[in-house]
Amino acid sequence: MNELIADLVKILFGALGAGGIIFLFIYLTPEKFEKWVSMLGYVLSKLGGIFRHFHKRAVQLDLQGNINSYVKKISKVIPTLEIERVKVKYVDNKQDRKSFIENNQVILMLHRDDPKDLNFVHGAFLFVSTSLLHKAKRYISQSQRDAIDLYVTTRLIEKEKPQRVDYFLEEYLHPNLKDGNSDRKKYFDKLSIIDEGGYFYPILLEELNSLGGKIFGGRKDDRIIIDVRNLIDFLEQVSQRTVGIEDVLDFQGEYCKASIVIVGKADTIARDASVPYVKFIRTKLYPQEVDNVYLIGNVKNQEIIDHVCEEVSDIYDVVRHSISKTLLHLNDNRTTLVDNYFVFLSRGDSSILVLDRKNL
Amino acid sequence: MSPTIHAVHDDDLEEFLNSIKLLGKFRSGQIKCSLCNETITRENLYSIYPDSGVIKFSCNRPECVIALKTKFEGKEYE
Repeated sequence: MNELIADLVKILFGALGAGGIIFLFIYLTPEKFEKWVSMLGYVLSKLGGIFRHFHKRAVQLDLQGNINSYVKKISKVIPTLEIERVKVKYVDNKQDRKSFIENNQVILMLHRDDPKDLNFVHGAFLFVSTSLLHKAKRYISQSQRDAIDLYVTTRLIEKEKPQRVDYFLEEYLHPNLKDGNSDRKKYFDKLSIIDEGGYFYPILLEELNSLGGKIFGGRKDDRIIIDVRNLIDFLEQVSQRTVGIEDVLDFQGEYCKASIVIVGKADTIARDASVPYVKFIRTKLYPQEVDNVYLIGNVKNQEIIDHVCEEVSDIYDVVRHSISKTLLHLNDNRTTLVDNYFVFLSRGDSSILVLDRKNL
Repeated sequence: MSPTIHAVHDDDLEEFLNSIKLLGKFRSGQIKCSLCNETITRENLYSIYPDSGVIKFSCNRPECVIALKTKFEGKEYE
């Protein structure tokens, strides 16, 4: 494998030259390039003198690079999510008061002296709260919104700057979960359980994203808040279900209609292969107008799951498939992490954008 | 459209405040956090934003950072 990579680099070097390879690297992974340049900028700015001004560019690229690195990761899990690379743009220092008010921009202060990395913490939180699921978040409750924003920001900081997560937890998260008048903590705890089970990004955020597409532009309605509350409760239960227990894995809300189909019973698969799953989707889920179906099973059942997808392809489109870790609760109270194969199907007549098969 | 985080860097803060005619008030400690009323300094400044035709400031106390998010949610900012 290493030899293959070495050969590939040699071929690329021969074809493109050093400049071409650097250009290709920037094109393919701009967020990594931004992070590297920012590190160099920080080092140079510490030299002082004429290098001092490098700090301004370094802090901009640091924030941009780290947030975009996370955006890239969640875009892989939820390719339908309408979230793009963030840009950090410095305000025009010459604009007058009137223009500033008319431009209607929220300006974030980026500090030179920043030992706790608050530039990143504040930027990450601002980004998550203003950009992630912005369509759906207009319609859900304040505590649901706050819990999602705090949860995703925590995960973003954990992934991109783990050394800063303790500070965020102590200073931002815990004090804000203590408010007894809000359900933030209740929702936050449920989101943690759902994420531990492996369903936060691939199902909950996917469903909220799908919900946003359906309701955006319409009137606010308490039934949306109830739907989201019930969806969170439902996924919390699913995340904690014991393997082998026959649970209802359908969520029939007013606005969200989703179903999880576990392809896992060894005797069923051995006897009937994909037939019962295809029949269930065709005769139960489709007539009930279930919009989104999540097929989940151990990676060893990948072939069967793919066959189910083919058999229902006239009514449900494959939006994405992936392999991810899922926490299973066993009968004897033990838990185990397994590699699960995961396919997200969406009704052919739904508004979800189905990517090109080559991009799946 | 790409989401944008608009920012001001420490090095440019005074020039920017001067352009929006608030440098004098800032230097003399007359600018307060719109949420907790704490005096805004260079060290505790978190955000500057227009609100109903008035320029407001907020500090970096975690409660204010979260409260400001709630304030933004009901409004359209660029």
